[in-house]
Amino acid sequence: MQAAGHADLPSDGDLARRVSAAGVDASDAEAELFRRLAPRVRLYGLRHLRDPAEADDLVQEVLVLTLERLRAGRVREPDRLASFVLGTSRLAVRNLRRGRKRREALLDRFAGVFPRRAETDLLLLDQGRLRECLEGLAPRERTVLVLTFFAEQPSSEIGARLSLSSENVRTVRRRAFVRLRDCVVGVGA
Amino acid sequence: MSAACAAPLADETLLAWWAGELEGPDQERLEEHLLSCDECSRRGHTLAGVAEGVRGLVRKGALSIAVLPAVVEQLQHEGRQIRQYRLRPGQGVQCTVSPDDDVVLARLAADLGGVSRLDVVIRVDDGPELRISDLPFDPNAEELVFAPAVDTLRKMPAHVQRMRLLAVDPQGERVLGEYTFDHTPWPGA
Repeated sequence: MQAAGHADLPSDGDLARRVSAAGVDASDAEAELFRRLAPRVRLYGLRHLRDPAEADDLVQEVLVLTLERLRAGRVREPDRLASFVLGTSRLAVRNLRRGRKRREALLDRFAGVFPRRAETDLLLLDQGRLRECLEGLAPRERTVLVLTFFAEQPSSEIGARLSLSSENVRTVRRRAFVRLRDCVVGVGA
Repeated sequence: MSAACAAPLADETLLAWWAGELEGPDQERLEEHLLSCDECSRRGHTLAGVAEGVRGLVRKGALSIAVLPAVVEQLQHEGRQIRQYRLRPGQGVQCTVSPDDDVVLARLAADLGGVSRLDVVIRVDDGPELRISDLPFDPNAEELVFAPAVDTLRKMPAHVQRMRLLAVDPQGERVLGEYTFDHTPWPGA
């Protein structure tokens, strides 16, 4: 499963090799790698940490380490940069989770002084539009999306509750998500 | 400029990844692809934005939805303020919504055994009846939990809302219960 290159664009591997070869003198290649990798790593963080602020911390940690290793020529296969970034991201997520446990323990000690959970607006779409679009879905579709995105329930558990097969739930979920996305941000986004 | 993707990920696959349904090599392949592909990463960000938007609306009680236990548990886990009214068929209740309430739940006890389709008919004072068809429900539960949109409820003057639960099948429909909510706005709100 590889992303295709573009004829006019250097691949991630090309950029990684330039950084490895020139070190700090390849600042344009570093900047381009950062521009490409930051949103990809952030998505990984959002999926595994479910917290935009922690996902931003992950981006910083992973990219600093990646560029440091590239400058030092310590990434063995630049053409498999994504594999290196994935391994680094996994370890960093583990560390951030450990840090989260410490933070939560501290928050427990100061319960009532600090809000339990910070709300972040970093990813919010137009909430009014999203709400209108959700109201346009069938009740069953709406509930499946809420169970997936808010209650973090996999299709097997949703199916067990609603007396549906996992396959049915996945079909409802995909159809509902595509309708909602197309309604909120436009077809094919 | 972004590189085009030769093998874009299917929406269903992205959703399964987001829902934590992929494991081992499948998850690894997909994540490596997302870390090397701008196009699929961008689509993943749209999914993350929709997910975050849905979460935000549920937390604010902004959706009028049938709610399953996993959603209530998550709201409780996050420390949200939940106002609940439990009614048996034929019962009525004096109700309100305070400025501090995040979510209001109407817990309508009913015998849902053997029910294949569940509809609810809602009427405010002497206004027209609104019918919501095919509500998702847990056939093993002994209640339907319904969350009205809190901001809409807050704006309403004193009123009486009647809800009628109907079991629908090819032979016709039967009333499972009628419930009355005598709503008074929060003083000074």
